[in-house]
Amino acid sequence: MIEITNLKRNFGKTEVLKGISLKAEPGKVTGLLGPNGAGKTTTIKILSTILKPHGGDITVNRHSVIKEPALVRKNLGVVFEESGIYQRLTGEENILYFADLADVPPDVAKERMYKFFELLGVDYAKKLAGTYSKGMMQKINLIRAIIHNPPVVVLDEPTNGLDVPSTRAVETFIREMKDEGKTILLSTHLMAQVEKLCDYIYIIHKGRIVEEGPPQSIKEKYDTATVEDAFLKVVSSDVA
Amino acid sequence: MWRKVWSVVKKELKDLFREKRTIFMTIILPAILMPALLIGMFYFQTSTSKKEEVQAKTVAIQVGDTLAKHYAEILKKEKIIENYIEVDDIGKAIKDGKALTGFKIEPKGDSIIIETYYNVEKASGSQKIQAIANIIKEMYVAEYLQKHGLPPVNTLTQIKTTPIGDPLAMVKAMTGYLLGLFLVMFTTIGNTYLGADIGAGEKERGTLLPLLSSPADRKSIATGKWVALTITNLISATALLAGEGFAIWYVIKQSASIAQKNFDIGMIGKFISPSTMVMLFLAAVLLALFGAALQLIISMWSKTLREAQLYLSQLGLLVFLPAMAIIPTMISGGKLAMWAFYIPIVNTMALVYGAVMGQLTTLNVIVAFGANILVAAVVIGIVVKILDMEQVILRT
Repeated sequence: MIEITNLKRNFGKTEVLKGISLKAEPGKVTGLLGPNGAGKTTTIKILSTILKPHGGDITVNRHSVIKEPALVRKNLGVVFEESGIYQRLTGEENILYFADLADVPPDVAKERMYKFFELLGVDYAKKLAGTYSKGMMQKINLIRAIIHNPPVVVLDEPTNGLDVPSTRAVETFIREMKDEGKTILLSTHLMAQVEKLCDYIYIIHKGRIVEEGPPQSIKEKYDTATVEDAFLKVVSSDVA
Repeated sequence: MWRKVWSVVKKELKDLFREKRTIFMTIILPAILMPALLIGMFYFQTSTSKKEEVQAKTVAIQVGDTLAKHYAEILKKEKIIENYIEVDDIGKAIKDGKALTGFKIEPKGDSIIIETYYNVEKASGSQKIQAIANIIKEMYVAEYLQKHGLPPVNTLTQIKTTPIGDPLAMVKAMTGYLLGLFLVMFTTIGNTYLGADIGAGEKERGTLLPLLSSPADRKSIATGKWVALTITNLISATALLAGEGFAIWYVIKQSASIAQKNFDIGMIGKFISPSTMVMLFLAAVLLALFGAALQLIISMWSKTLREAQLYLSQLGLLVFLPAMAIIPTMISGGKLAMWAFYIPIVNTMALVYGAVMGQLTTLNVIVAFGANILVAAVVIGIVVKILDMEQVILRT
């Protein structure tokens, strides 16, 4: 479970997060939507203990990012938008390195890794990552982030720039993680993906949560056929 | 913690050594280039001195200078010179490389004036003609004394010479100085690329954020990277020492062959003993520890790979500044003061020099190791702090 309470963060004099609060529950995919510069990536960086909050707190399975950052990282798997894969290592070496850092025994890590390879159709992991396409890298990135079997998974634009088969494979994988009971926070620009995957969404704009609810309720509230239309209405009404 | 440190070390070494540049910079360059330079210098010096020797054996005298011809004949007979040439212009003959030196003798009453010529562009010309002039002077005096019924000069005065000290001292001093300098170069400047890659490279390639959000603690990450860099620095230092060792063996063997002496391995032992080699390696360990910490902090602080490479190459020049203070003592073969063992980098050069010269004390070694480990620990502490400073890790 992720609980964000009154989270604030500035960069210089600019207030990027103006006190946002949200909750992501186990067994559900929670969407975090917002236009560019809304504060989504800053929220994820605070959640992953890279940045420190200037106000409020985030707890991951009841561990505070301020007081217990090490325990937060143990409970968390983060997939950043940029894959951050080591190009001179193979896919397998990338994954097993992170398993090692998370104290996962090698035999357990290998068993998990091969299971994930099967689910995502990865048959290239013995080659150096420098030879991979973006989609191939993103699949390795995803497996690497959850190799220590964290109960909470944060995905920042996980299918950005991927082709249709790779996108579909990643989406299926997200559903399977949800079915396993993991807490999933998904930040994305793809509204169709939100409709397909998310159980609950938060719309963040100019550092504030401006709307929240299940996708269906939001569509009904704004009387639109798609989440995309509702999103546009929310964002433009906030501008007005 | 140490299991994670080892994971980071294994990954970093694998990652670094899969880059061809790493192998070139870490192993090939120090192992091949520096010995090649040393052997090249030896051959250059040998061929130059051979050429000069041939020139030195030929002396130019003026056509019609009967007194000069008289002494030149004696010198040739006594095999002090190989040959002499009679020329119209001694200066021109020397300039044209027909002879290295020349002389004229002008009688003046009972005495003679010996006028000498030599090529100032050749190092040994002045000494050689001075020696020839002295011999002619002695011969003239001997002839003069004999003519006047007086005893020969060598029965009146005798010179006995007793050399004091190690005849190899100056050679050792130069070797100690150069080895120390090379060692510092290859464990600081030589690994600039690796040092830059391990921190700034991670930022630039976007791999730092996933690493820092992994369950590994910052201390394990920083220590692992430090150990990995220390190992690569040590590989460079070992390659350098092995290459230099080969070069010294080769040069001594060739020198023995030129001097028509039988080479035996003991000749090297007299020059650099096994305990000296151990001390050289310890000095390399010392520098590797400190150099790695310094490279890591600069690399982590830098925004980009290029920026890190720039800072690290400047660092290579900066590290020589404190070393400048002890270079004059080293070149002159003197004894280093204790303060030199307290300052990292300077103390590596001091240890290498002291080991080659046989001047080291246990206290020197303890002080040098203690100082470097202390400074390295402080630097690692700063790196751990830096990894927690968002303004640094997000500087891109």
